[in-house]
Amino acid sequence: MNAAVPLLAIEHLSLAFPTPAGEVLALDDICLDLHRGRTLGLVGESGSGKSVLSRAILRLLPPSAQWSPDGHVRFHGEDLLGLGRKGMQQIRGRRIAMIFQDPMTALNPVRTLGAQLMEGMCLHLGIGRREAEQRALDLLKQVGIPSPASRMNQFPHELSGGMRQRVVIAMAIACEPDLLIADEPTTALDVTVQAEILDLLKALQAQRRMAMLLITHDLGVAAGYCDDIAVMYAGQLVEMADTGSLFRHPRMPYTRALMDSIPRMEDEPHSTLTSIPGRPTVRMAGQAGCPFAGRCSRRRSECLSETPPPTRSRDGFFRCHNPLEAP
Amino acid sequence: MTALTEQVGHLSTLSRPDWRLVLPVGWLALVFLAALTVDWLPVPTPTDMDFMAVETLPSAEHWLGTDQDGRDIFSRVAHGARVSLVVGFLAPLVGLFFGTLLGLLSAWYGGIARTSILVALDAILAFPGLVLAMALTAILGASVGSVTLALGVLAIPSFARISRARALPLIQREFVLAAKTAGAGDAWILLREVLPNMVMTLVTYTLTIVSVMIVIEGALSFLGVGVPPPAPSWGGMISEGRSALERAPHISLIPAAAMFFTVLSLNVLGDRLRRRAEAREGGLS
Amino acid sequence: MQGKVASAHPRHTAAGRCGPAMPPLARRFVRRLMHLLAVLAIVSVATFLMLELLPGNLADSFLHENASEAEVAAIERDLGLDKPLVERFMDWAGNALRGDLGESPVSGEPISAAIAERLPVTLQLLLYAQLLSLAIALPLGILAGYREGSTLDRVISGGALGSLAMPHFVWGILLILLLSIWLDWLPATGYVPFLESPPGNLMSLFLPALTLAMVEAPVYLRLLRSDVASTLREDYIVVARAKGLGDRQILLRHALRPSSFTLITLMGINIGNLIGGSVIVESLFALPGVGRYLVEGVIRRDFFTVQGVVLVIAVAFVLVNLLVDLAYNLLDPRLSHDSAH
Repeated sequence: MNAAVPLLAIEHLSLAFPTPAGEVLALDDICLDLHRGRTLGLVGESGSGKSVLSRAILRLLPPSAQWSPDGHVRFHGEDLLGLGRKGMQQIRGRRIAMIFQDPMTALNPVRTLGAQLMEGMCLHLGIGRREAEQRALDLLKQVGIPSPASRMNQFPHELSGGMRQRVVIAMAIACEPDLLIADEPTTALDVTVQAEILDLLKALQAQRRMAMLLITHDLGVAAGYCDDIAVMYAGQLVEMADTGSLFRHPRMPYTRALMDSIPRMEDEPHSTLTSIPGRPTVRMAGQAGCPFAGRCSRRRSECLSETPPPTRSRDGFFRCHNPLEAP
Repeated sequence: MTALTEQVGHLSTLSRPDWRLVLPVGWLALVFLAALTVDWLPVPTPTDMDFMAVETLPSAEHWLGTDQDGRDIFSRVAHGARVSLVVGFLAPLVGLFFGTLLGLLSAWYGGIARTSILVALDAILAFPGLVLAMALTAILGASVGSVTLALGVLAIPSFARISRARALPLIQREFVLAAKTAGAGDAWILLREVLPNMVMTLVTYTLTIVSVMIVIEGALSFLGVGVPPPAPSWGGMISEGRSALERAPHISLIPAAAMFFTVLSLNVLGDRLRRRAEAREGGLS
Repeated sequence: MQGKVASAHPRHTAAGRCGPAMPPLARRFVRRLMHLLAVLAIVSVATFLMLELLPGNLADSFLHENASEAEVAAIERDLGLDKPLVERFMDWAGNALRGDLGESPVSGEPISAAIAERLPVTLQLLLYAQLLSLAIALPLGILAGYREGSTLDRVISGGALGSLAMPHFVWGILLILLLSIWLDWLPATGYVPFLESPPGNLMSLFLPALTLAMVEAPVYLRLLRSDVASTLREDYIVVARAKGLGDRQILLRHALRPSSFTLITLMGINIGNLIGGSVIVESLFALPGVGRYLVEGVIRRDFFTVQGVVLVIAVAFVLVNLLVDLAYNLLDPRLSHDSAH
């Protein structure tokens, strides 16, 4: 792509959680770059570590999380993992903002929407109440909320789910962040509202030249809205490529399996969807082998004993001992 | 993240000996034992006055020392335990019986019956517990029986509320409908179908309320309006010790400690039981 | 009064927030008021009947053993016992409504005046105790909830469990022993009226109020702890953190607010316990309050006084609970609107 310093560069990020059964490897050697103005889709089944990764960038994980020392999260070239508490607070909401899955729970039920919208701005932009109020009104208008003035004093439960998610988005873009992390922003919404919200995000991103990390379990959503796609499985990034080539020529069997489980317009009516046999696993620290091996139809003996290293592909990488053919 | 903890969560149930269960049970057993056997132990009666040993500290002769009148504190604490235990365990039974009855009736019947039961229960709750207990014992006359009865009345509303709350979802369920279609009468359904399903909850609550009853009984005795002297009771002993607090604090502190450990043990056990019962019956409703 | 608008528009046509003619809060209030009146009626009848339940004749308790029949009749006339029960109740209730609870046959004092004189002491004690409880419970409860599972949390929660197992009279004795006998910091007895010396008054009430607070605070503390801990697990807390808010702001703005509603309810429920406690504490510390007056009445077998005090306490308790309920409904935004369940 381009040679400039990426906005966000994650290098060898590994993370484990202690459990009574041993250390669970939630993130395993994650490497990815994200440039200004681009959208990266992070795709995977639930439990694959997508949310952990998004929270790890902002360091919103519980203190029990064990970070490996050689991992880095560089933002504008600065390592976020080396920042102090105050420094991190100045990044959160100001430079990197986040949108969460469920707008029903992402807003404090006992505080007015106005107060929740304005607190971030007052904190980061050093502006007074009146100015913050004006900006909050503009924001609500931008995210398409009708009669914004009357919403300011309302409480979350007075709005529909789609409207709430718009408020959550307004809250996230309030301080004009450089990077927007959207963690399954439409999963909890009605199907009809999903496209509206995604279109809104896309428009805002283009308008403000933000980078966006769009986390979704829906490969269709990722295909429609992302420039690049990273596929995650059991804490590893198993394949990354630009959207076009990933869909045309998936290399990792898991990616292929994910794609086969999406219903297509060309399919015969009532034809059965292919589902991936078995269940997603968790990986324990020190466990070798490909995490997908147990469910993989192309498994070979080394898949069980050796973790496949990332292999360069034309515009990304994949991790597989027995990849699907390149074109 | 949550999916992750869920997947490994079930592995965390490791069993180990639990002193938080052993200590309270041990203490309560000790109190019961002392209350039961004190008459056969080589100690003076609770009213014997030993004028050679007034306000003494614990010794071989007087295991826990003596009070201002030279009475043996161990003997008095053990006899006081009888009052506390009798009132503490019998009063909840009074509340259990009438409370459950009212709770079931108010859950089963609607209209005027339900309204009048609920209003009557709220009328009992309109009196702060201790005030009602004082008024009732004042009227009934101070004795172990009347204190038990007064405290039992006090416990009725909470038993009624709990059994009502428990019965309401139960009477919506299929087995009640099945019994109704089979032609069972109201009393049969309530006693045979609904009541057995709330036994755990009620037993647990009965045990948790014992400590409350012991505290209120203690308060009545402390104020001098409960079980009348010279019969020893923990509250009364704490109160009598006040005049010697400066010289011989143990006269008040020993019965106070007995009460503290008993109430603490009951609370800890009650917490445990309630959690277990919730876990068990939670799946039912 | 007949709202034609209300009857013309069924509920579902009133869109969104503009509810039907009688808003749900008002409807709830009216229902609550009816219930309240019924409860108060029963309370007054029960309090009146209290004396009828006395074993033997009420008049007997004022007379020596071999009183003549004429003496008995005179006393009965004095007390109005010769009239029928219903008539006596109407007289008694009517007088009570006018603020006249009769005279104590033992001291000859008018009971209402005696209560009015002692009420300020008790009210001040209750308020003082609530403030002290909050001063103890708020910081410790929030801290324990914030650091749930830590050693600090275990110490605080363990202390609360222990404190809860000590009745008022045990705490009172311990505090007297510690603070006034061993450390000699505070006087154990000797009430100073507020108008005489405000600082002296606060000093003299400190130990009694602290005694009440030591039993009250753990209840609040435990609630706050579990409430704060569970609130901190909510998504909107992560959102607030993602906005760049610091811990202090998150605790105060986001976590404490929801807990405060539950706390208000609990404080209302606990007033009964607090009143019971003040009866004990006033007796222990020799404070001239209503609780001690009640104890004296019971001990002297002055049943008219007991009846009067019990009535006043019960009515006040019921009204306070109503106020707490209203405050809760008004404060919590989730309840004050027509929430569609």
